[in-house]
Amino acid sequence: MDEDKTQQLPRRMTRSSASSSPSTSNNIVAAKVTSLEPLTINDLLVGGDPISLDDIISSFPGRSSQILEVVRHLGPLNSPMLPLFVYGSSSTGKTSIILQLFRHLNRPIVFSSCRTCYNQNILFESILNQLLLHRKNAANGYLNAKRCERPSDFVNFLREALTNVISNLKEKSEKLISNEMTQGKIGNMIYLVFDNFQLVREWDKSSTILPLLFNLYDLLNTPEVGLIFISSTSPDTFYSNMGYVEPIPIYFPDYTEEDIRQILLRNQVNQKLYSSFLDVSLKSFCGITKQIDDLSAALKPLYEKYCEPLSDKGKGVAPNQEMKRRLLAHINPHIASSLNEIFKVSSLSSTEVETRKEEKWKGNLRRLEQSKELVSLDFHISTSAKYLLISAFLASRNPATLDASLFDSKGGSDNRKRKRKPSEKAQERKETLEQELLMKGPGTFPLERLLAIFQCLVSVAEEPSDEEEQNNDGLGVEGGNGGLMSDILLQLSSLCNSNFIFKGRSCPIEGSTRYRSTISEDLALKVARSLEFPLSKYLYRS
Amino acid sequence: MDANGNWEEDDDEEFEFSRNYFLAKELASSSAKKSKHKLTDIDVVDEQELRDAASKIEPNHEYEITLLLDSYKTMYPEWIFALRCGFGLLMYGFGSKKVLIEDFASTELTEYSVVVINGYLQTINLKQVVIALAEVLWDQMKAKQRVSHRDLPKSQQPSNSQSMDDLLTFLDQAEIEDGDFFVCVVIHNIDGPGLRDSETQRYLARLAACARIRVVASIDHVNAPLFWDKNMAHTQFNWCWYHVPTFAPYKVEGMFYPMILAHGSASQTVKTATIVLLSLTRNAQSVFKILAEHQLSHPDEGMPISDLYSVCRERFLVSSQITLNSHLTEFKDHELVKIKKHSDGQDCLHIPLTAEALQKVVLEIN
Repeated sequence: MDEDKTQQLPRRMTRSSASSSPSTSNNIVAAKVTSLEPLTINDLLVGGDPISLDDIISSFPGRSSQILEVVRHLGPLNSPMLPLFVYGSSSTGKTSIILQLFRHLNRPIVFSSCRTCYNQNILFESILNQLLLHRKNAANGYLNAKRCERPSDFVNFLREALTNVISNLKEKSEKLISNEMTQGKIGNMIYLVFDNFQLVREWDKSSTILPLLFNLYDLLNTPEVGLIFISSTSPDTFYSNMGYVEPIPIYFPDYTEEDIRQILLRNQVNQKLYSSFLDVSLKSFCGITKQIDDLSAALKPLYEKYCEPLSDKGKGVAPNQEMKRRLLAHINPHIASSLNEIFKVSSLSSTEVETRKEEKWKGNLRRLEQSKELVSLDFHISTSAKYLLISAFLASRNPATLDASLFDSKGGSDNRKRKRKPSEKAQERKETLEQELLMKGPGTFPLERLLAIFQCLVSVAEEPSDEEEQNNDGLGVEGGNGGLMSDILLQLSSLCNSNFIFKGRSCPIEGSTRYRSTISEDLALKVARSLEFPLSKYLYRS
Repeated sequence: MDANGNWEEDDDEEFEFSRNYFLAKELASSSAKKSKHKLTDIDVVDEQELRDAASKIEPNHEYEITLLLDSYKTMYPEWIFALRCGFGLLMYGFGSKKVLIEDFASTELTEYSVVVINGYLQTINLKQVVIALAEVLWDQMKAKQRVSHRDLPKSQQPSNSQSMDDLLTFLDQAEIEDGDFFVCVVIHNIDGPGLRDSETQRYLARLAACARIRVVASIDHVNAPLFWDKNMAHTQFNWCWYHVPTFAPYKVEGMFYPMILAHGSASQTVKTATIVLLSLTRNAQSVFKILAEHQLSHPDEGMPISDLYSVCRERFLVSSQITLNSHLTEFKDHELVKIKKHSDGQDCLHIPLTAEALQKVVLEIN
């Protein structure tokens, strides 16, 4: 039990460290909150109990080669280093391992996440606040230690702050040497860590921040400063037309299934029971995703379901063959439904608990949902807006050359009479053309075409009585539907604002604006069914 | 002709718009021959001569038009009543409605403050309008002794440094004892070129929704309601639609549009340049933008063609001198650029627009 507690600590610390605001978090959170003492140089350390390298390697299965590589590049105490570029997909342990290594090595770092520092000013001020041991509080009016908006100011302030920090570190080191104490050595190096570095690419159109950060090694020209970039994209996605010292890339590949098994088995009370659970479920889930966060979240409720038949809920019983078979039969129906919900943030979480208490299957719930969807639309729009939506869908879906035959009732009947039976080759070519049209997606159409189709559909429909039509004051097209036109244009604008229809340009009057329908065929069929409109009759088919 | 004979009159009237559209599309796709005449074949005259000739045109049916305008005077009490009830008036119909609305304002709105926005102008500073309105309300609040001396420092006097949201919030929440007090905003051509971007329309809608503001506006474009959605039209503007055709010529409104038949005028307007540029390719727009940015940063000298070629090559906009020459020929044909001789004898490109107009063109094509 003590071993589990010790091992649980780094995971929790790591997550809180990685997700906290740019300042490094301390183990003494309670003391920090109560006393708010001034910051010292020790606050640049990761903190926590000392941890050995073997503990880190065992805490991160499958990462021993990467851990040893990073340690080799960091080198022994007071070693200058080249910049590091740590990259890999999400949830591969990049940030956690870096923070745990600095905890193990007991060296000062300045940690900044480019997600919480979402532009260059905030990043600059966060780094300087940490280096200048500055905490925002009511005394200083919650201001930053330094106000700098330009990169040149940042470099000057950074050089000045780093010089001071390095001097303090050297003084501290000399005191330790004179006292002949070797345990508390933290060395003269200071490390700048940039997490989520891939987000910097989108910050600035002119891309001044990216060459600046990559050039910090050359600009500062200080051997006591180390730079570490952590990114989820590879180095070749960082384009820069200026030269700089290439950071050393360290790749964190995705975890294998065996690694994932070892990671998930940690911190489990009953190792054998959980292992038998993973035997039946892990292969299916790894086919969908290999991200530890998603897998852990998805497998947790399933494991609770797995343990339901057991009397003690899986606390201490070692499963035998008969029990394994029984548990497998119990969990099998739930695996398939759980697979579909890995990436869904379900709003049924509370209902899900009640469903499980009532011993009902989620499949029943989903069937209820599906039957509910077929009955009615989820939203209410007016009748003319529905016709407008259907007109937009038809205008996007059908080629413009078919308009006369489809929508002109006289011409349509003539064409239908004269239609010949197509040959087999022509049939195949038509089907191919239809497939191509579907794959290309919806086309664009001008406003006049939409209004022409709308007029045809409305006249075909029986009894087009509508609430909005009571509005007799309206912008009338001469000879057309007098009171309807302005309302139709207003409803078209409302549909554009609701993202049912995409509008090409911001000004709807100047130039020729083109529109495009964004709804799917299912939604169009629902709208048509609510109007009792024969939509399939107007769709372009072979 | 036989098919035409089969059509019933009801069907004919009902399907007129859509049938005309579909027939026009079919004819456009089928008939391949096009007119060989060009606009350059027309003999153009000086602009002043053209305006003199236009001013000599005598209108027909003057008596009937006068009767029509007089008949609208009988609707003035209804309009002022609608304004008092909180509606906005929206005038539409054929012909200029500027004289009609101004007559209504000068005869019926004498008790109220009136601010006029001429939407047919090319550029309109909407913030100055809102500041003027805020100052009117501020003066009204002070005159009614609503604000005591103790409260004066707290509420801020409207000024240019305030943001648009602060000004609109002040307009909406101003407390005035007189329940019938309002300030009328007359907007000629709310669909005019100066008010056509969606942000301006949203600000106008918020302005119309203020408790002490009433709007009287006119539209002329057939698709003007596309600016507003249902919430803006029915709740914020709260339009009452009035069909008031006047058949009066658009003399003032048409003044700000370039005359096609005029001999090359002194300077191209923003609108003409924007229309031409938006019809070109994206690369051509970018080439013009490079030229415009150079002229904005170096006002006196033009840009040498060799320099333009270097910059365009750097940005991968053109691949050869021939491509750049084709773009420049296009610009010259539309009188967007002119070639001057520099002092050292080099050919330089110059855009015959003012710096302000050029900035607006660059904003438009972005």
